[in-house]
Amino acid sequence: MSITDETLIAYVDGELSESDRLKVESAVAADPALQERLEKHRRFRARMGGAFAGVLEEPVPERLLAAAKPSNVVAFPARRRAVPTWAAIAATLVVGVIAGLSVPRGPQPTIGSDLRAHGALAVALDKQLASAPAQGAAVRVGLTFKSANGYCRTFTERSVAGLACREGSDWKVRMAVAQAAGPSGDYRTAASETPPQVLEAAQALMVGEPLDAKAEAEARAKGWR
Amino acid sequence: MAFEQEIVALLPRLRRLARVLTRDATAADDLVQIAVERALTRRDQWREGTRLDSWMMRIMKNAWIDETRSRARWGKVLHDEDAGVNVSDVTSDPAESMAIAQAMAKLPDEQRIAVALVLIDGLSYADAAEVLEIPPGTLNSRLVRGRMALMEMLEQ
Repeated sequence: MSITDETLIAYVDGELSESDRLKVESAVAADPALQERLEKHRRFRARMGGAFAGVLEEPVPERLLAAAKPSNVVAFPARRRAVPTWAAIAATLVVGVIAGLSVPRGPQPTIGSDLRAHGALAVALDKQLASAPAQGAAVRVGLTFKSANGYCRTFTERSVAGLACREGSDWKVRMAVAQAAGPSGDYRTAASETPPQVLEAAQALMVGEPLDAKAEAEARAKGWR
Repeated sequence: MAFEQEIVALLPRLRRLARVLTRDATAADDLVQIAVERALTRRDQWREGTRLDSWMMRIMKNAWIDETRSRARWGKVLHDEDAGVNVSDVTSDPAESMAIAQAMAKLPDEQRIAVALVLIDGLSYADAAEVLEIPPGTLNSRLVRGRMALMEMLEQ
């Protein structure tokens, strides 16, 4: 029988069925020229397999390790994306009910309905001025700015920080980051710093500069519309 | 293992595959980074119990196709076949990787990736076909054509 290169290649790749393999072996045994062709394919496979093996030994660059470990960041999918990763988000935000934002734990709730800020978070987003933070408040608003679709505000709370944007009469939480607990098991007291991930997300959404005190007060007076 | 940890464990293999595809260490890591970022934003699309390596490679393949189609970024590297390439600094035989990379660069993209998945990464035909989202017969013909052309170039 005549054996094609395709068959020899499949043979050296271990992709032939048992019966085809036996056919190749008996043909090769009877034909030194065929045997030489088979060896050529075998050597080539080995040569290719070893060619870039060194890359596997290289240390993986830090930027790739970092890209694979946004450990405590939850970036929310774009609006109207069909299935959000709520199960994953709920697993990440093990802090439970956060600043009035209840993190759904059921299977696959829809985005939009459960992401509405309420409770203390909604109150702070509605009322608080970033330029005049309330002393001792559980939630603190960091930045107020305009996005292409309206006002957005960053917030921090003892266990979570994030970014919310105004939609109609609601604040929709677009991003939430779990904050590390401080020493002695306490959460940091009324978080003061906005995490860099939240600032980056804010930067990406921001049109122009953050609102100054006057513009912020005016926006509040108009109900963030 | 957590999803992210599994991706970290795959990074060396992804880097190797990217190096073969792009022929440039920095562009290769850029490609891996794009793939990792896409994978994390789409983790809801990965089905538990299916192979993460195939899924990641499929994402990287698509990223590579996107990038090579736009040619904005890697066009120079891909077209300048005889340019000195920074393929691998640590391999035991850099001249060997460079010779292979330069020969592979002359293959059509679809043959190059088929060869890379099977011969460099060691995937089975079925897994490679799944990564490339093509029928097994198509994988087979691309692999054979690419491989015969490479042997011709490298073993004269």
